[in-house]
Amino acid sequence: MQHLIQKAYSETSAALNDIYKKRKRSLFFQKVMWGVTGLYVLWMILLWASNYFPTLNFGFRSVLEPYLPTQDNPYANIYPIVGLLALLYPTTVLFARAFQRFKLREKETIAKMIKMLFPQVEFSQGLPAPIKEIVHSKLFAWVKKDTPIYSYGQIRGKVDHSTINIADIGIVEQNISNKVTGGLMRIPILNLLVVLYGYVFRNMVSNTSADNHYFTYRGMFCWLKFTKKLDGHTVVLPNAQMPKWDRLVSSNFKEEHKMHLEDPRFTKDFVVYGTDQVEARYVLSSSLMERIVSLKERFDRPLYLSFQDRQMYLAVMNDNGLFSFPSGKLEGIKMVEELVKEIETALEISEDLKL
Amino acid sequence: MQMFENLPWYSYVILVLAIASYAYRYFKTGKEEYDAPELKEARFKKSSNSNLNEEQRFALALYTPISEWWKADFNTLTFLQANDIKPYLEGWGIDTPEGYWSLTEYFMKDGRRWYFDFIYPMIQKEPKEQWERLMDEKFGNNERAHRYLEWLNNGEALGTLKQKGILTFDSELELGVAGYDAAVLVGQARKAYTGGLISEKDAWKVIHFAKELALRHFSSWEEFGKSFAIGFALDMKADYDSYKEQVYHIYKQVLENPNSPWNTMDWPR
Repeated sequence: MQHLIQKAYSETSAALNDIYKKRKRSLFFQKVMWGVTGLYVLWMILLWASNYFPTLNFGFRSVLEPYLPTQDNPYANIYPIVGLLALLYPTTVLFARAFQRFKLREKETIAKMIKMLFPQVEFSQGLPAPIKEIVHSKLFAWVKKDTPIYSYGQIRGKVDHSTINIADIGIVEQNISNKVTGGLMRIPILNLLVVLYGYVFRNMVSNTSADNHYFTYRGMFCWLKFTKKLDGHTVVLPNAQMPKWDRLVSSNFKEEHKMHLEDPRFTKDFVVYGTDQVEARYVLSSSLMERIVSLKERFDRPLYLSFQDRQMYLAVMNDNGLFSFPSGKLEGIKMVEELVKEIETALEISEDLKL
Repeated sequence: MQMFENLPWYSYVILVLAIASYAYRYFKTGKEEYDAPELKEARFKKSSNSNLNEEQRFALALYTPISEWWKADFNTLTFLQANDIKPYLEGWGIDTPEGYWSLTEYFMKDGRRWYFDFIYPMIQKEPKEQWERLMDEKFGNNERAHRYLEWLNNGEALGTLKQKGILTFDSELELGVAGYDAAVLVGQARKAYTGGLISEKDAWKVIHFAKELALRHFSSWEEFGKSFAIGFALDMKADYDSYKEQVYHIYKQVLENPNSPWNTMDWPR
């Protein structure tokens, strides 16, 4: 495999360099666009404050003064708004074009890389997300059929006699945090502050693409056949506060309970929910629990698993995405090695877990 | 209007640009919305008087995506009323027994497989410089053949079907278009029988042939459905876009809805 990695890297290094430049350009326009939006929002807040608190002495009152409405010029405050809106239009167009070019190049390069590195698998892009499988997996507490889910590519591979599907997905769930934000957006003035922080500030200081900010989950999602026949479902989640809170508050899985298992290594990393305690123990044999812990160590990222209807689902969080390149300079072979490690580990799941 | 009186000159320029830009977008978006096809919900209508056996119902189900578009019962040999399908029969030139049998014999013997089974392997194996000569030798000046070549070569058919979630991988094109031929045979036999062009016995003979064709090529509804969709995507001309969108929308329901005959009847093993 090492010579394939070397070959893939040397044949795509020019494209990787180009992607880096295109991403940089797209990030520049991203910052300009959100900067203009920020100025617009800030202006609206200042106008509001000057109307309701005319006696307050702002530090930059002198800057604001020429644009405050007077008897001679009653619409003075409108000019900057019109100017900013007019500026917003071209910056949005420039950002959209730069982003599109960057994504297209990235898409072509990742397809070429995967074809070279894994000639035995099928790879496809431009597909709708596997929503049916994602909903059926019950891994994500807030996902419904109409939840926005995006796909960045899908692999289908065969190891021995089992087929595994590996997709790179991004989900925008209406989880607790997004519900609270949604509520705040309905309150005047507070909604401007939310936009300032959530969109303007985060996009201005970040070096990741705008779309990645809004995902509640980004990473790998796999599905494959499970040998045992199950009547209910068993879900294995990372032992962290957020997944537990989401599970508790979401009303999507009223029929399930928290399962109690004895393996201390496993329960330190994972929390299990299911419809039947006996079935959960039947699914999660002590050897499988051990293998899941090793698999988590191999991926070295938060791991989600679920089992139902002779099907196993696995999700591995990855903020950069599986079929996207990390931000920063795309130099060094390590990045290709990382990609290979992720896909190889996923392709070997069936073997590793002895399913 | 007083607010516009004291503006500096550049404000008027900005205003005009803004109005023109929004007007352009409004009308462009408005037109797209107006042209968008009306997507129908599949109802899987069935007649309570149907006395068909399972084998017959299975064979009729091959035509489900299109029969749902017509809102016809899926469990009867008759297909709506003779008047409803008259324009269809005329459009295909099968409104006489001679016309019907001529087209049916073609679909049984060659169908759209004749195009696909030559063009798809040619694109895969033959150098591009040879295509024109090979196409001329096989098809001459055949508009349909050149459309198949264009859409298979530029990835239009595959791209659309992937985007709709009907196909996932390039290799699925290898399923071919026998599914589409089988579905057309079933649909036209039902319509010809309803229009009084053929007897019930002859209609079942054709439908039985279509069933055997499908069983010979595919091992599941999913495989058959994909082949039907490939044939349909290639066979409908570009100006049938709205009809295509509607059929794709129904196709997905036929594949996923638990009440669909594709989910209530097993594919024979």
